[in-house]
Amino acid sequence: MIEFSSTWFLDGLTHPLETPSHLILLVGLAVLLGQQGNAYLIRNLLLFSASIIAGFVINNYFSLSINNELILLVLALLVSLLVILRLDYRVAWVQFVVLILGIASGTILGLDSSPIIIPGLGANTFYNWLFGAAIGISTTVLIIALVSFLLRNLLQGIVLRVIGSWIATSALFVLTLFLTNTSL
Amino acid sequence: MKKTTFLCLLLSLLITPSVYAHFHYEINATATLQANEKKQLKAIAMSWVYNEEVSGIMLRADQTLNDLSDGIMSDLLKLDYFTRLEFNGKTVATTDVTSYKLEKITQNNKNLLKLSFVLPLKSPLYLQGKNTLSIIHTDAGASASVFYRNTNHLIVGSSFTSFCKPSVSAVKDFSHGEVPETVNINCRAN
Repeated sequence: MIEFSSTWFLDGLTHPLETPSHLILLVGLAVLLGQQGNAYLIRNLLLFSASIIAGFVINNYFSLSINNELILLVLALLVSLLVILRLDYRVAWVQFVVLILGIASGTILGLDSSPIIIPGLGANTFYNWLFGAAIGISTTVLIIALVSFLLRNLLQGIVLRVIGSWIATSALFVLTLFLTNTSL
Repeated sequence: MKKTTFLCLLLSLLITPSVYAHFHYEINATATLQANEKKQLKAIAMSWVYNEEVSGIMLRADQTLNDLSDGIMSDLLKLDYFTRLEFNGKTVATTDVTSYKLEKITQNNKNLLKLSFVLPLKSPLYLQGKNTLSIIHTDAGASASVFYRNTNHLIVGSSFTSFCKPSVSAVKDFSHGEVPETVNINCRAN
């Protein structure tokens, strides 16, 4: 019987905020979803949340040997570039690309979210942590997306585009170090 | 523009070290050889002190120490207790741990958890002669690293002390992460 554990729920809840590669993608994606908000914001958020769960399930049942960090950074770079470009949300392919990026981001975030496995800390820990992580990731994106949605036309959209450029620069910088196998 | 670039670089500098971080924890181990009445090696008693971070995580697990120790040993059984014994290069069969204890200790003003257990050998071993017993610790999940640090944490016991000498050395040419140890007990004829 799995019982609710506030300790492990909170540990999972704060995980995305304590993992910079997750946070950079979360913020980038949320700003993009908010900026493109007129085009199915709720649908995109729901599909993003569902894909996080799909990522958890895949991670639990299959051991995929993919470079999660690299994919997280590439996705962060792509979403932030789209924020900078501020493409017209009414165009069908833009909506499609945003949707695909949302699903891909959710899945990779789910895949890269694993509770610490320490002997003695069993299933209760595992599921409480994942539940917390799912809520943490979804809520973070929801809040930032809603704020971005409200700010999307501020100064003709410049504010969000500047944030996008910060995220893109950070992602590119870290990606370069990652690919050259350099650590600071 | 310069200000923005500076802020971006600063953010990146803060991000980079953590991006590469992979959670792992340390266990400080002590092993004691146990002999039977025929002066054969019958078991190895181990005590593992978990580092402060993991001790804290376990203590926050809303479980009693007894329940926690039962869970730990049940999980460790599936992981071969992170331990493989080799006698002259050949794996030594061990049996399930039945004797164990988890306790809270204080070291250097830190609240830590110490797990003590006895790992019995399936068949007793004569160490007498030119023999080497190796203790190898590995975690398949690459999270736990077990360290002895020095020979003070390898206690051969009165039955073997006259002819067995422990040694702890770092694995050579290990380039990533903390260097694992080679733990040997070298014995000679007696």
